[in-house]
Amino acid sequence: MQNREILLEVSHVNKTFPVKKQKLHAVSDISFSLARGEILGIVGESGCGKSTLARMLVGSLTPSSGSIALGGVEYHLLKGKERRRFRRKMQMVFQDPLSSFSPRMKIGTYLAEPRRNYDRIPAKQAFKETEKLLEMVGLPGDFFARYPHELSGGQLQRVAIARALAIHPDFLVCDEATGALDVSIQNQIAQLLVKLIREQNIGCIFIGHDLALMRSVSDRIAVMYLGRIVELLDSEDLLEKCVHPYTQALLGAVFDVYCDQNEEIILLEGEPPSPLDVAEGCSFAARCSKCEEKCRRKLPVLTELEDGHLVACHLAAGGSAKSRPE
Amino acid sequence: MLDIQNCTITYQNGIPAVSDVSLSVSEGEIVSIVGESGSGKTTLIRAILGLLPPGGRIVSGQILFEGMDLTKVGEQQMQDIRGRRIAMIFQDVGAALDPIQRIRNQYRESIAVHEKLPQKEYAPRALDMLRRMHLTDSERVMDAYPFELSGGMKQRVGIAMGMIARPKLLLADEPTSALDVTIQAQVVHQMKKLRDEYGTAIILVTHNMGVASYLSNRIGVMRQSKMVEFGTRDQVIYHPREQYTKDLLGAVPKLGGKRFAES
Repeated sequence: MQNREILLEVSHVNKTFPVKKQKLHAVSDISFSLARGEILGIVGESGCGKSTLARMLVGSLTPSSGSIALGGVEYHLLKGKERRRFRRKMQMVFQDPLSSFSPRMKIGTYLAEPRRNYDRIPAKQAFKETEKLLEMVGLPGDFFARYPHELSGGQLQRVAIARALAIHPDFLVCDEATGALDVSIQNQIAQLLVKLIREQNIGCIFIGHDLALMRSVSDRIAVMYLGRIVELLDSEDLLEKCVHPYTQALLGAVFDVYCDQNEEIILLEGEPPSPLDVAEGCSFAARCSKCEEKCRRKLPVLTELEDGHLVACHLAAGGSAKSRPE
Repeated sequence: MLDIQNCTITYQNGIPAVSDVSLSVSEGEIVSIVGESGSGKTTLIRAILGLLPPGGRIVSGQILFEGMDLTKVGEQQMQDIRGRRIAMIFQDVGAALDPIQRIRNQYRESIAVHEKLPQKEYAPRALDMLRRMHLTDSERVMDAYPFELSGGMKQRVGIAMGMIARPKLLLADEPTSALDVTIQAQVVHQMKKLRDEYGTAIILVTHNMGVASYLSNRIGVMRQSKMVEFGTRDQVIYHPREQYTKDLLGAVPKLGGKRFAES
């Protein structure tokens, strides 16, 4: 992984929204990098700032501080035409396929649009290309004459992926791209995404909340809690090596098909605190079963535990929280 | 206790949404119905309480509840059964709660409708139920408006409200689908406790195989309006007969499973 070309560099990004006279810390001090051909999974509960992060990455929100650089260019500082031209390098796939399509646009028109818009190629040529795009995502080429309502959710999501990849972006953000689909379809879409990303050698940020799916799709997983990354590690090591109590709680909340019915569920009491009044100390302290005095006082920083495994927890760094509750 | 026999339900277009489905639930049992969207699982449990959307009609079959055929009882009698003996909770409880009434008032109403109790006993009864639902600071919840509560809290308020008259059967339509995993775990835990403490029978409609597997005594698999497989939990999970069930089980991402991203 180390030898690969670094595509995206995010460093110390913050985003706050003014709410009345207070500040809402949606994303605080997030840093990571993404290589070409790599899929980074971002997991977290609703309201943890993962969608805000996604919108900053595609450039539709500007970070309050910190920098996001794609291929060395900090695109948030670009203006006008330059910025517009840069935008083609990042594309996004959304959660609900049906609501991200215009009901009056045929699939072909929809797929041809990015090429016509960014590359200014003639309509005829763009339409010809749509057939290839459809085949790329495993759909019959004659779908271009159909309307969105004639397609199923899974087929539409394939079209959305085809459109995102039509102009060969450098990286792709999938915001819960499989969240609204049935399990059987979900798997197919996830597999397709992985295949296309490897083939085209682009970077991908895959946002979701299903840890089991995320683990199977991504190379690395970042766990977010209340606007911060609390743990970042290789997906392969997720089960064996995760140390942050929150990651462990998330894992405990996944119901396995072959579970033991008499096993007690590890419950995480309460809800995430409001991002409006972020307390001093560790943001997870109020719900953490292992919380100690220092957790309430001092904010843990994201530190490297071992190669490629970062964690923000006082106890993990000291080694005392290493054992997983079984 | 509840026995659905060869039930067929159609909508306006005449195509059956549920065809020839049989299902039975005994006391204190949790039965799950799993399947893809559009397989008719929601239609089936809505039919039990006569809550089919306009155009929906039970064409044939019987739904027997404690010996009474629910497809034949009048509206007046059905009102009596709804809530008091069979309760239902929906996927989006937020939409089922009145946005301009405090939770306290909504409890008051749901108690008043179903039971004859002196006014002053309403609040303790509701508080007691909320506490059992593991809702911390239940006093605050009582005085809150629905928009002040999070999704998980609303869902639990909804379950508590459904359980207020101690119904014998609870119909749950995708109660955890809109929730985060940690909150989902809380709600699942709650339903298990309901069954263990009150002996409430639950019919759970879900597309989450993991949740179904954890909670159920028996599992039914629906596909394209038909019940393709129905059996005990161990039978369906460990020894599925139908290819479709096997495919469905295989499609669920597993924590220890194979990774697509492995290169």
